[in-house]
Amino acid sequence: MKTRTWILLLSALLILSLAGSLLSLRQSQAAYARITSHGRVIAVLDLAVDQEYTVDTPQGGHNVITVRDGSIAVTQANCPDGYCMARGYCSGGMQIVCLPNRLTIQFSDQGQIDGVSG
Amino acid sequence: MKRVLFLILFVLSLCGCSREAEKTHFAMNTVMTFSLWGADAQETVQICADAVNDLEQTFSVTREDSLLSRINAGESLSIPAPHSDLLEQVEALSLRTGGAFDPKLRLLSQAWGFYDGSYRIPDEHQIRQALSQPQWDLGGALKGYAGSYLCRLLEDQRIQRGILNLGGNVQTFGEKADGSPWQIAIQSPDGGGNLGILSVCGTMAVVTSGDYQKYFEQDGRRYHHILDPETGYPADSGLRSVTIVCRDGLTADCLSTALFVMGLEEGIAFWRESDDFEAVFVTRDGTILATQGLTLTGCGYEVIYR
Repeated sequence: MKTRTWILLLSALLILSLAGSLLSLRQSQAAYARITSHGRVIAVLDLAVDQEYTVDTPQGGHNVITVRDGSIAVTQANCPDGYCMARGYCSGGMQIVCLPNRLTIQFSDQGQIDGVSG
Repeated sequence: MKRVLFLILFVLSLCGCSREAEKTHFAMNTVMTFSLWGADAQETVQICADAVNDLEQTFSVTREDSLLSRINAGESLSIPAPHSDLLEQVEALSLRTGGAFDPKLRLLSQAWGFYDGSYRIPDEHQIRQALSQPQWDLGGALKGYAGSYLCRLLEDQRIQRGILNLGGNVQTFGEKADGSPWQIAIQSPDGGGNLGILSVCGTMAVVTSGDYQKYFEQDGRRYHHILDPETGYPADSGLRSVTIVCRDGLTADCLSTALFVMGLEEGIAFWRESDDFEAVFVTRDGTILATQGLTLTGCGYEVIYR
């Protein structure tokens, strides 16, 4: 092969790997949020996609989950304490919990974290 | 034929590998997650849930029919095995902390409305009355104890490793498959994300007490749930959170509360006199301090030496 082809190939490889490492460095936040209701995973939301997700349970629980700018929050709930909404928008860390409605939002793909103490 | 045999062998070999099981469990007024790896993982997550339910049934302060509630009501009962020495252990830890951790603040927590969410600021008379009648409340001890107790159960099962998250109390069990340390994040007191990540080896409890976990606001002031047994008010020690890393979950749970109540200086002095735990302090101005035995990444912090 010609030297020029080699140079082209190698520089393409270099640019690709640089872009890759930059991309992976940027991802300090969770990429996905796992929604569980009554102990069962009911959805995994992509935090890169702005969306609204409503959970209505047979037990009468009602929560609206909103994804915005890479963060997620419970924006409507019929629980008596409202703790889930008080957490506000989160992009990682400890799970968001609505205890009365048995709802959790767990973050995943946070680098190599095995658990969160808090 | 050979292909079928190969397929069967392949599937069998997969079955022999450690399996992961995960269970989310609602108990003790919080949410727990049991993640286990090992041949018995599926059955064992249920064993964990049952054991936690048993503990709650015995020691719950909000259930009127629990043994602890009956003891509080004046019945003279003894706690049956395997938890017969828990109350003694808790009293010993309270003594060790000079009373900064007080397991008998039931009436005080009730006066502040922390059990049923009917929050109010009690007056001096109510506070004095609540403090004069000590009644058990193991809220600052039971989840930690549960973590270590579950680990003892795991040892009797074919479980290689696991992570138990008991409402923010993290209990690791065994070593990770590649031998690297467990990576346990500390919740940021401001909410939103992680403060930093602790590297923890082997079976260990990581317990955090913070003013952000349970609180109410009145007239622009925050009243959190970690009460100072001396004043009867939420501890006002200048700390936002204290994280304890310790082999024993019960000790970790009690000490995280105690050191939060003590404050930074007294907490550091207490750590220097001890040799069974490490700690991370977060002060009100956002400074993070970690004792010398810890490996913390993902944040800037000061190291406290002996």
